[in-house]
Amino acid sequence: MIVRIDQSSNVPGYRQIADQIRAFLVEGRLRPGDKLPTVRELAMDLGVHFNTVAGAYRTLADEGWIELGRRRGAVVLERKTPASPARNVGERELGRIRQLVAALRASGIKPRRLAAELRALTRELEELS
Amino acid sequence: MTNWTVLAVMVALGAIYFVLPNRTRPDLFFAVTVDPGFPETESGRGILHVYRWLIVAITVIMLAAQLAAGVLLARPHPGAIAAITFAQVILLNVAMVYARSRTLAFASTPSPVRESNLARPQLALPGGLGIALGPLAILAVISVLAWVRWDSLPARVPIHFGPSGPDQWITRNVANVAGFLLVHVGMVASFLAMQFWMVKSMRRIHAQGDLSHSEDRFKRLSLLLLQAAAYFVVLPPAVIFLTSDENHVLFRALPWIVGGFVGFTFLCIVLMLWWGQGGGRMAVPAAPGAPTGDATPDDCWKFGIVYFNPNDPAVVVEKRFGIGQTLNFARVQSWMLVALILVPIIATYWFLK
Repeated sequence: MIVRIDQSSNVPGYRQIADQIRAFLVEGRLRPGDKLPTVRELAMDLGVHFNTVAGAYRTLADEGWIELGRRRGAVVLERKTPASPARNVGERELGRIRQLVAALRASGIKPRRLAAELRALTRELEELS
Repeated sequence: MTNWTVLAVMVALGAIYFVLPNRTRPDLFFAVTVDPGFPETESGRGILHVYRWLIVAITVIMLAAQLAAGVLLARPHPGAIAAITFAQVILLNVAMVYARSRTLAFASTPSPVRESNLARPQLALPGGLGIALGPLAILAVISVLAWVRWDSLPARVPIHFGPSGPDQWITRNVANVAGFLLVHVGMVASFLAMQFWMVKSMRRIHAQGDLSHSEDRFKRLSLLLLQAAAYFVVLPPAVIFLTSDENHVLFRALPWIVGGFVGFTFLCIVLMLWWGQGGGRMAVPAAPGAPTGDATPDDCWKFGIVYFNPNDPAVVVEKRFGIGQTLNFARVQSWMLVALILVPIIATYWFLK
């Protein structure tokens, strides 16, 4: 489970980290009870300020994915049913998929490879449902 | 230190600087981030060739200067010996800085991507915190023993050992004995602090693959060496205050213990040179697309030697040129560690004086 941060990206560091950890949570690679690295450890490896990692953890805690404890650190919570988003929020988020695909095609990734990735993602989603 | 040892140390220094460019990470050349294939290009080989000639010339000239200053005579001037050895170290680094300035023209942009493996366990102190705190506990016991057995301590307490046993002493009084023990507390604390910050405040450059495993192995050996050094430091005071007798077999064994530790240190250094900086020479190169560089920006390295980066949370980082670790001097903890290292050195000098 590798978390990457691109320091040249326009996406804020805390969001890059939160998005990737959220993906691990959604895919079930991080399970309830799993401990995440401490803020210090992750900040050290990624070469970012502690606040950047703390911001990412707070975002995930606000969404109900993890619990932040002073002693236990960040622990993954049971989160069977994600909170249902408001209709317009859900559609806006889904629209990001198309934007992302367009951006990836513009960066030179072949449609065939993109399609393979999306098929793999679809399979994983079907297994979850 | 015998005078032949001084010459041997100077030759060893020259030899180490000679081989160091081949022992750094493949994507660093004279502390500059380059494409991994650069050292094999004509420009890379040319820079290395000139550097190595400089290293040989500096070492030969300084050895000649040392001989001229009478290093092998019965009573050479100690100040001159130290000054010439120090000058050699400075000049070897000047040669490195010169090679670095030539390499800068071929620098490549370090990867802006950093990685971390969420599933990788954190590096731990070898043997745990209890073993790491052992030397401090031993010093505490020694202090109590010294207090309880004050009258049975020798009138002259030995504080320095040569090949044939103790060769320097202090008069037994509270200030001297307390100072002697505090110097050891300072030394052990500096080793402990370095270990602690290596575990807690040092980045893992590679998050996955062979390179990450060899990096961990290299760090574990560094931690083991620091721990061995801490235990070694408390041995002489332990022997002095436990036996209180210069004819005791443990007293006579001290030179052998010192020799054993020097041998262990030498083996560790050879092993580290063999593995290369961060174990990078003993691992399969990173897959194409993996982040390059050592996850520190080039412009934060002053002369390729001193690291100063206020935006980096790491206190300890890998040296760019050399084997082992150095400090991020933009962090206050680094200066605390420097103070912990310097105070015992200055205090030891004061005691020996």
